[in-house]
Amino acid sequence: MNIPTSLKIHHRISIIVRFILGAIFIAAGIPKIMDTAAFAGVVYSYQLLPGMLINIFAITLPWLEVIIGGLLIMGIWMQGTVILYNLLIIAFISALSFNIARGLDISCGCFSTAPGDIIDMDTIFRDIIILSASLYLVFVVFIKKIPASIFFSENKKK
Amino acid sequence: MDMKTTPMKALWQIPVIIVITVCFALGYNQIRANTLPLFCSWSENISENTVTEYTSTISVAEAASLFSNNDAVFIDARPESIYKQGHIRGALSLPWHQAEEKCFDVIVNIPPEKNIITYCDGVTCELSDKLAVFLSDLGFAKVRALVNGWTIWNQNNLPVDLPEAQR
Repeated sequence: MNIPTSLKIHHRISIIVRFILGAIFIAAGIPKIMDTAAFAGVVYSYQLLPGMLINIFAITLPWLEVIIGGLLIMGIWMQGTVILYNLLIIAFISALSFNIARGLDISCGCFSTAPGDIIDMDTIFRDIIILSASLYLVFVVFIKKIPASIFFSENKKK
Repeated sequence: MDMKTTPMKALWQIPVIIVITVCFALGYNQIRANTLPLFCSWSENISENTVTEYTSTISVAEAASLFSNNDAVFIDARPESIYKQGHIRGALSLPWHQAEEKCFDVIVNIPPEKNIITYCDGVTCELSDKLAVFLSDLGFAKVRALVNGWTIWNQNNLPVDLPEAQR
């Protein structure tokens, strides 16, 4: 079966994008899993969640990042994974923007739980680049409907 | 080639991913060494109770003067992992969210009339205020909070303890 070249190109780019975006989420999630208590402090400092929800959020979010990152790399359940990835990045951008707008001087807690990684416009810029890459995956998965399998090519017949 | 990748699949995939995530997260939290309570009230205490009642703060100049005279005990209210990454020289670690469990180990050697200075980091950080109230309630007479303590201490190039790697 003939596959148009443009689809093959999108497929190859999307594999690279999936690996990079997946690795970003895994790298972001693991330090938070290692030190959940410190991450809970970061979540609190964002001042967005009611107190009772902070711990449960801090316990769950890092695992969501790692699992979504893993699914993205493995190409499993791409529709759900890509939607969740985009929703998370949009949520991160919203939380960061809101706190920059109201002038909170807090640490990002993005890739580590250490203080010092203060949120600023660079943080937002970085997340917008990630968002544009993950929106590309929406395009690939939902509009082009290209399967995630690495065998999406004539190699499949071998 | 399978082109039947319908968007509708997301409808079952998203809940399944979330359920799997919650199982991993709660399961790991239960088996790990320092299990975090799921619905802990520490943040509730911080955000809702006595937020502005405790106004006894100390200026960095006065704190530095007490420090150089060795006349005050500094207590770090931030999580212990952050304390380990650097803290005011000689400061004790008493993370606010573990204050009740750990306080007696920390305060047992502090005389009640000693100057105590609590600090955390960031102008919006209330951990030090909460800890100051907590210690006052325990009977310490001279507890004050150094607002934005870690940052301002560093800005004034005052002595700190850093882990070996960062020296």
